[in-house]
Amino acid sequence: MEDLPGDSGLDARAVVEHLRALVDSAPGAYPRDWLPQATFDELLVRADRDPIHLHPSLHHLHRRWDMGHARTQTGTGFGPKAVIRRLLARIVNSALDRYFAEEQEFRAALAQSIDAIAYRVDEISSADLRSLLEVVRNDLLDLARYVDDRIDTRLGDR
Amino acid sequence: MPRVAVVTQHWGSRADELTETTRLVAGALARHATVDVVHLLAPPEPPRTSADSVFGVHQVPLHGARPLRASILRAALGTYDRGRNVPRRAATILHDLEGSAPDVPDVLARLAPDAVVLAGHHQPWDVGTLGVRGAIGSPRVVLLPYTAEGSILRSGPVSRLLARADAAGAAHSGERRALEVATAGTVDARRLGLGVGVNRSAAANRLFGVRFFGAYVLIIRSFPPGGARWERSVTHDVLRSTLGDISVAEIDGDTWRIGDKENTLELPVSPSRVNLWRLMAHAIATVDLRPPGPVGRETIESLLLGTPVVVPEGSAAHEHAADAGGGLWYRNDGELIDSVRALSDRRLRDRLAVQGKLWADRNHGDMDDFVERVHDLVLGDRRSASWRDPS
Repeated sequence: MEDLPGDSGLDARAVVEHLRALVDSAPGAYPRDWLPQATFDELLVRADRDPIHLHPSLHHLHRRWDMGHARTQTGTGFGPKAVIRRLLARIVNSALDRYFAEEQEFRAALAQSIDAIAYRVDEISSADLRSLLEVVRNDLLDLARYVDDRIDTRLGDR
Repeated sequence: MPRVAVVTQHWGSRADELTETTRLVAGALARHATVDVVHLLAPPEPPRTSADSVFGVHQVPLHGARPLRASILRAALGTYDRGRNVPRRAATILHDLEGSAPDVPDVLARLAPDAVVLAGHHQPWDVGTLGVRGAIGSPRVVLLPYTAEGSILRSGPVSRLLARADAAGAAHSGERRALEVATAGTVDARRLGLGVGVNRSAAANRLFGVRFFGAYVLIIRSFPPGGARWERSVTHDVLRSTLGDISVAEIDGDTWRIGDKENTLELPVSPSRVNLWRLMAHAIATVDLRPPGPVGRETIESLLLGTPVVVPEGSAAHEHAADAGGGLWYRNDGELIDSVRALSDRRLRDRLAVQGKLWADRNHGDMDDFVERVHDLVLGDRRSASWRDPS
């Protein structure tokens, strides 16, 4: 708007006419007579859900997947019951050690994979969807511009 | 104190532009006169008199009115020749759809007012009962047509109102010009210069969460909630995509939101006028996307708050923007975007804002001036002739 008419007491009518003249001489970078109606805003609002990786059940999983403490704890005290419990724990742990180690690995892998899926879902439900909608929207604007140009060309032929 | 009767369909609790305007005019009159409101009510209810603030309200049944059908027919006729030449048969049907309020003359005879204000051009009762213009003993009649459409002003029913009216009040200069053309200057037509108050101290505080989005343009798609709204108009998303780093705030009835390229925030606020001012006061521009109303109140408010406007051509809002030099106007979506992009230029924006505010302050910002204007329009010379202020 460097070449606005007049410096003081600006006449809005002159500005509107000036803008219209500019457009007539050089059509803008966006369509003028038809604009896409799809806003995608509702989709974007729905995309902004609370991140699933902050879900309480995932938090619980992260706190409970490790059973190392249960395997190493053998109890305390020197009474007959405590001595028998420690003895049994040693026997059970040595007999099932391989099973418990596999179980521990399985639970760790489970927590990691659920975590990865949750993060991926969060990405898909916001950023990826936003990017996708941006592409679709730009395509629609391009299409509108193309249709506009074609109409202008056809009208110009007459 | 003189007595003024305001005859209108626009009264009650609705927050539409015409009801608010009628209330403002009646309120201004109440400073110098006893004001009775004759409210034509459809669907009809039994006649009833009640008090509403300082006004006595006389509810009068409006029989057989079909406002929705009339609006549809008017819109359909408007697509042909912009409604300039309404066929006689269609005009008769339109007149019938307005219904009839035969009780109005009796109520007015009982009130014996010094002046009668006809607020709105739908007056389906016999105005001939008000006597002849200028005759001794007959009340002064002032018409507020609430339309600048020449076809309506020249139609039979409105012509009869204008033939009886001593004066007419126009909501904007375009309406005043249309009245002068329709009456060939036989009626004293003046701009009302509606007194519009804005709470500037409240508007100084931004709405919560808006600051994060930086500079923004405000678009009004529908306000107040339940008001007129186009089914299709330029979308939030498309406008935003053409404005670079400028965000877009939108008011669509109860839904208020603001968005930039990355984020959209639904504003958790009540859809009140004060919150509208808070959003308006800090915007780069106010863009009106609504079907044009007859008064353009939000445009005046935006100008009072120093925010330029972008409004549809041919509307009351356009007349305000042009008179003020406080905004731009558009014919289609492309021009709307051109105008908003032009206002991203700070130099242009500031000049329009200063001019708009000066004009709005001078013509709409002073309530005392408005009261005097309305007094002069409605009571004319009667103030000195038939009554005197005790002071």
